[in-house]
Amino acid sequence: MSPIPSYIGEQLGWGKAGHLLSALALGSAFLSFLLYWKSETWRELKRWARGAFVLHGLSLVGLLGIILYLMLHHRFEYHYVWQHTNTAMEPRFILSALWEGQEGSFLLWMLWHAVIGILVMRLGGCHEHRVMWVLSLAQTFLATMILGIQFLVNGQEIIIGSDLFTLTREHPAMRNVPLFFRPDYLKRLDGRGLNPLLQNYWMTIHPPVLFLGFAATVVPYAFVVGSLRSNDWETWIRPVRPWAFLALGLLGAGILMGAAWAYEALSFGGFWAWDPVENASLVPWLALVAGVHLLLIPRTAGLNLFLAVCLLVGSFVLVLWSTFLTRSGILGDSSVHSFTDLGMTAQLLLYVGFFAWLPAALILHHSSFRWFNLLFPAIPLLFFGVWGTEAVWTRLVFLAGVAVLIGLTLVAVRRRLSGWKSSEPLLSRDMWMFTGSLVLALSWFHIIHETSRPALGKAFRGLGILEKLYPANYAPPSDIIDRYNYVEGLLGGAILLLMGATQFLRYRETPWRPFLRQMAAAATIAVGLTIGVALLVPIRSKFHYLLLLFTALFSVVANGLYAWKVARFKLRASVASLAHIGFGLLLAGAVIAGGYKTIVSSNYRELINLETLNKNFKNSENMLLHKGDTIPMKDYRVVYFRDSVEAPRVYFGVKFFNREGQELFTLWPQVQTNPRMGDVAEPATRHGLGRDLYTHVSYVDKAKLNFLLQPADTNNSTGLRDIGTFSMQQGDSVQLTNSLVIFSSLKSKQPLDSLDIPARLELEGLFTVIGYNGTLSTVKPTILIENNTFQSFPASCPNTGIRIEVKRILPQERRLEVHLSQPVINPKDDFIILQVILFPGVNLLWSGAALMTLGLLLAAYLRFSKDFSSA
Amino acid sequence: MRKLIILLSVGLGLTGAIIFYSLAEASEYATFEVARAHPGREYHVLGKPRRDLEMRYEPQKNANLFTFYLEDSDNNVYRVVYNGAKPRDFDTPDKIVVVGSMQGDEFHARDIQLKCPSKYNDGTRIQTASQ
Repeated sequence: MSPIPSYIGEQLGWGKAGHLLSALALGSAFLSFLLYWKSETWRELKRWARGAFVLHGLSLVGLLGIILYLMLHHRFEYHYVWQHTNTAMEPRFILSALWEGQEGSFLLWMLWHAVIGILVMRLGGCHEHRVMWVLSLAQTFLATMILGIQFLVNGQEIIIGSDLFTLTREHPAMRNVPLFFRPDYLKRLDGRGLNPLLQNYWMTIHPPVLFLGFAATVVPYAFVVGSLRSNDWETWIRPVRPWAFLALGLLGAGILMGAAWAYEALSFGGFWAWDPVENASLVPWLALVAGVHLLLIPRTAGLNLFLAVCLLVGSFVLVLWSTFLTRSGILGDSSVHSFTDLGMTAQLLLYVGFFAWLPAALILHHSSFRWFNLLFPAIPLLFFGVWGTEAVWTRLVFLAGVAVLIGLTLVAVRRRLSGWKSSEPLLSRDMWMFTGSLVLALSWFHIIHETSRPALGKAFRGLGILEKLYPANYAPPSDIIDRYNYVEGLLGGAILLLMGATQFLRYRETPWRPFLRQMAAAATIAVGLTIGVALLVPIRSKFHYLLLLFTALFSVVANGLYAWKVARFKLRASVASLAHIGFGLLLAGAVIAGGYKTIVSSNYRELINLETLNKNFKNSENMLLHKGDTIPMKDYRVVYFRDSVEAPRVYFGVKFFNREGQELFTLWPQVQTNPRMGDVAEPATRHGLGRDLYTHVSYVDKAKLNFLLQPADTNNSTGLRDIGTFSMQQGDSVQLTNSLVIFSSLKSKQPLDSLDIPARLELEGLFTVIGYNGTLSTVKPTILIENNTFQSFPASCPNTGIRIEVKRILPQERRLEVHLSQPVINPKDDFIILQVILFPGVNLLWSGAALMTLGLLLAAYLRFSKDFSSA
Repeated sequence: MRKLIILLSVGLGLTGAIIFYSLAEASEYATFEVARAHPGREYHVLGKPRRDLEMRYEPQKNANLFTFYLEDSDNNVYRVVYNGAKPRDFDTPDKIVVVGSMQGDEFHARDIQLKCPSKYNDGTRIQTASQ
């Protein structure tokens, strides 16, 4: 290898500053952890701990500033900038580019943790130090993820974290690229650019909100774990509630924005597909919902309290587990949008493992099983040392260790907590909330189990029966979405019923009679509404959808009644109902939109009937629209009328008319072309009050796209390409690349009475065009000779598009001079394949989502204010 | 207390039921030969699309029919009949997954999963700015 040349134009100072700040972020987070940990007994340290944490936050802000500067100035000497941006990219997508990669999204997550941490300093009160040592510890772990330190252990290269400021020319994949041996390589380097799927405004706002939600789940966890350290199972129950509501509101909004992105910008035709990444964000939310409801029970104790602790702890651990699943590459083929494997699997697994083990360790520390805290890490480590991670023995011992750990923790908790023997009456809010939380727990268990199967398959390799049940080469079953809908629909229905009823129950005993009367009223109204919806939306046969719709409407009605009759619309008493109504509407909207979505673009004139090939195949879904043709689709008449280009985007104008031919609206679905990453279609949706019409171009001829995108030249106005002028006698033929053109005859249109040339003569040429694909067509260009003027009317072949124009007639030689041209886009290829889907009730879903988020955030706000006393 | 315990055991029972329901059905990544041995049963087959062999998409005849040849990991090449429009970025990825079942000598695919190109792009490909 030649000596390294001195490179021209690099700005290496930013990277050095970045490395310094990364190290500072890690160091200050760890310092903050130590100081907060000590300040439990040594109060004066709290000031210093705060200082360390603020320093940590500032170093993160510095990191953000540097990376944004580098991206905005196209400093492609940095690999992250090179990988996620390019010069052609619109600056408004710079933020999407920042969190496209793993390192950037880790930075975003840490920044939110820092913001949440500062919020805890302001609002945490006497629990601040407990929460903050846990948060600082979590932050320390996260800070290692962007460290990028390499060292050798026994000749094996170990990398901790992935560096945000790696130089492009030093990246392992780039080291040997010849370009980087040139001193002036920077002049010639352009970035890879942002994935076209992410060049969308939803992608600018959805990830930050989602990560803010993820970051907020650390607070309930930290409240629990920080208090477990002092064996405190009581004082944190009230102060944790607003934080849990805050996390629920933010995480919920983040998830729903993801759904909105999928609906508005992705082309799978829906808003939820039970994709592992979607599930990964939903599961912590469900756990937190269940946990916070258990904490609302006054004087919660015993089993209730323990379950609540499990769920709050579980929520944050599930966030970490999801991070592991989506970022380690372990899901591999089963998800559309997981990250690339950066070789951090072990580091991520350690992160999950540590924070899952921490609460158990603290519980055991205060029990008589303290010794196990030493044994639990020691024994698996010993086995790792002897057999390595791949061996069956290691994993068997590890799993056994986990089982023993869980068992011992259960026993320790059972001994520690009183109130296991309290007996709640059947008809009490406590009892029903417990049931509801249990159902929610079942629901998240189902989702996380299903999502984790590829990972479990790898963990259980070689373990006999477990290996059989969890095959290593697992692929999700074909009807996975139906299976999710089935189980989650059942559980969701149960939740909705409980949600409607439980509000009317009092803690402890409730009399039966008034309760039943209220329920009957709510149920009657809900049945009426369900019937109303069933009459409005087209398909009525799906009974299970109607049943689910009923439960959703029941919960909406019951909560509405509660807010009106019982809470009398007083804000504090009815805020729970607000969130419940939102959730009910959301599910009602999802059931209507998902269950009654209709494919409008079903085909009616197929030349090949797919159902004869395979009875499961369908002719519907995609329809061919030639430019200018009016195509009937269900209640619409649809015309694809023109293209519009804003490189790299091509828009296809589609007009919708009603049956009477009255124009309704125009939609512009688009294709975003990207030669390197593949073209991406973006749907266009007509939003109506009751229903949305969703359109998406599923196929366009590549040649047509290329033609539309090429810079405007002379041919573009006519869209024709000259073939040439040919002199032809009757019977002559011209051989073209795609066809054979034969001149058959030239005849007058009106009978010629005499040999005199009449004043007006109309001649018709007859040409036969034989396409090499076997088509045969007759083309008739005409000529009009009137008062010594010569007018020619060209004609085009319907199959090959060849246009024939008679230029001159040479009567003496009995010849014609014929000009042949061909459209650049054959009219036969000037089409789009369009998918049109009708979604009813989508607005119900979004308004429900907004109400629920509002309710949750309001609940958080009200509970933060001091004068709030729980009902 | 007894009620809570009863509820909890019901919950555990349902958990078991869910695991059972979830484990009862699993598809596996397979080769064409395996799929051939069980015609009609659904499989995921990972393979290389053979772009040198015939790829037919004639939306004029049926916009929901696309046929091509796929070479699986055992280097067996089979014709795949896909019920759907030709995927837009079909010409880029090296590997794709087809989901469906074998019908005679043809694999009838209900779904095609393309690798998201950003993930699998060869990192060494350098683009130079045009100037």
